Amino acid sequence: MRYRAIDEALVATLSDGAVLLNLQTKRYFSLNETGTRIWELVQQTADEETIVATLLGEYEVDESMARSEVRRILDELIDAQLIVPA
Amino acid sequence: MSSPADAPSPLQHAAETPWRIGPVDIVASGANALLHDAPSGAQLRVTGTRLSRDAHYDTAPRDARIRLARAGAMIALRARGLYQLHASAVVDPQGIAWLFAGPSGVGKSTLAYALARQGWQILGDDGVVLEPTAQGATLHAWREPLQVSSWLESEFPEMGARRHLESTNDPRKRIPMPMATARRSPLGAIVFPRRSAIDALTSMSQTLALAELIMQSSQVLLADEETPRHFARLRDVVSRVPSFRLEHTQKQLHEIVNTLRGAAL
Repeated sequence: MRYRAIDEALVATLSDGAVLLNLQTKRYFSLNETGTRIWELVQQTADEETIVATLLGEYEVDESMARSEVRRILDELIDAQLIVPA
Repeated sequence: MSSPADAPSPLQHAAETPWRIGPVDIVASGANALLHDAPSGAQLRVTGTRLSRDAHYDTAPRDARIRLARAGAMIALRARGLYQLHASAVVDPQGIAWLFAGPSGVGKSTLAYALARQGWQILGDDGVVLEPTAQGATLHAWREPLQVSSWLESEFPEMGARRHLESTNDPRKRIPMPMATARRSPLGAIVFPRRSAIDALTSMSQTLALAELIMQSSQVLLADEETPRHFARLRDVVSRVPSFRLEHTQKQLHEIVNTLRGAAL
């Protein structure tokens, strides 16, 4: 499944992660390094499978863990109304 | 080619965004904002950096006019790239400012007073103005009297002489305490205090620091076309200035100077 960031989402990238600000809900969301990379990949309109595959190439992590981590962060971003299905 | 008369108004496509500081509702549109004080119905208008009285302002009670002027000043400052933070700040003997940011009740004013008793200078008690700079930030004073809860009289006996000034409407029974003040100073560190059963000063991640800082700078959340620029400027501050979590007990009221020295800026 593919997702896209809402237009009202702002991101501030820092050395240890990122802070997302939803201007609609006025709520913020902080991301660790992996979460920040997933956010970048969502913005490139990568689908879930592509995000998992990219992380497997970039981090030393097994596939089931990468898959569950991607799903968890996507669900949190959906709950925070920061991404929607493309 | 369009003539100036044909050009669309810069406000035409600006989104109107409701916003609120306490009982003051704010509708912002581009560089303009209309502030409405709900209890009194009084209104104040902000045009760029200029404040002007609007409906019912002149006949509103004094506290309503103060609320409106305070919120209006925050918006006018934002237009100049200056951010009013919900924070206290003190300047150490070397001229470096320490910012204490966080929600009400975490000990911002108390710690500021504890430092002021040791000769540090106050920049602000419940508010301070942050100006991002190429090196980090400068803090400017936000002139409001330092107020300390009378519950702390056992720790700070000198408060007893001022007990008659205790605010009767204030659940925290605060007493205004006159202390030496500073006008501005370069920011050395951002401290996020938290009452705790232990005493510890620990380095804080930039991500967490930014997330906590924006919650104390609500005007950044005001959604208009300038918001991304202001958000990025706050990010630059936390990426250049070290941030700390201060977990503190009552013990810090007398040890805070030594604790902050441990931060080794």
